[in-house]
Amino acid sequence: MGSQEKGVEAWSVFNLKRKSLERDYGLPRFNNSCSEPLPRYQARVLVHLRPSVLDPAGEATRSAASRLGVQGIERLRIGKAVELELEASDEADARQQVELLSDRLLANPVIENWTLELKLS
Amino acid sequence: MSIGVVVFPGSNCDRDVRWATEGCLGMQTRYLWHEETDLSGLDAVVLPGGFSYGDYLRCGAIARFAPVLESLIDFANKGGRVLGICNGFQVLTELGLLPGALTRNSGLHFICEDTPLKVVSARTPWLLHEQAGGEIKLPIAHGEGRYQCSEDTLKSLQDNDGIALKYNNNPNGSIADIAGITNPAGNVLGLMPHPERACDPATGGVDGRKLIEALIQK
Repeated sequence: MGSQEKGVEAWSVFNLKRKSLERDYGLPRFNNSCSEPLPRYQARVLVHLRPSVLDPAGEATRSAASRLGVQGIERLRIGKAVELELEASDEADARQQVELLSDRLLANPVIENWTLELKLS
Repeated sequence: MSIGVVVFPGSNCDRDVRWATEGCLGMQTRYLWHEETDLSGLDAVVLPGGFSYGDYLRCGAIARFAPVLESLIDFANKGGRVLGICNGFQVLTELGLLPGALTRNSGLHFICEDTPLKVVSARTPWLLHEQAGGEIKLPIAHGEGRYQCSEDTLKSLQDNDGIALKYNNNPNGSIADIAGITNPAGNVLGLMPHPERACDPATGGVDGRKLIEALIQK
């Protein structure tokens, strides 16, 4: 038996042991009968002021840009990027959760819009 | 007759309000920690100025989820008087008890000065003692006091006589010069100026006294 094969064997024994440990301790946690972990999703919510709302901070930054010597910037608007990771049963569920969060907390629909980027982590 | 002053982490005008209500005007007052939910025995609740929960995300956005505010919605719907001053006004709009939103001052500066205001409506108990068209002077101290709302909301505010106070000089770029608004029932008032800082003749005049007294006037 080569040393490499020995290594593989040792590793699979370790994995077997770990599996049995999971069986012993994994199930009762949180009283959850589902042993498969939920998929994780990465989301990025971009919050920006509605076009009709004046963005004085954006205007101030635009004027600083011209002082730096960068000319020709006609429009500069400042928003926020919120990055989050979440567990959900599937992508539709993840999307629903983040949409609720964005509508009710991350953005104020009176003055802000938001867009969502979502992918499997 | 008793007044509750909500204290969020980051409130900084809670004691100013209590000095005005209790110290200057002799009205019974108690603090309401943001985790309290029992508003029994209160006739009015004040949301004071400051930076609730650090004003993270947006002014008032996180305060809106405070336990005390769940009770406040019931309290307001039953006709209890609610006064939101400065950050308190921002919280009321985030909570949906008043329409619109407050955004960064158009000139970007934090403005701290006495401001002449026009009384637009004397419909509600808050300004019953004033004449519509009259003028009062109250201090303002805010960086995000530019009132914004949709055209539909503005129209409904105008139609329902919901605009209580306007700036004479519009220091922050608010739509229609709006400094303070009321709900249709008139028991909820939100305003950016600080009436509680104009109750003690030793500091800042007494133009805010009647408005603060209206917390518990029939």
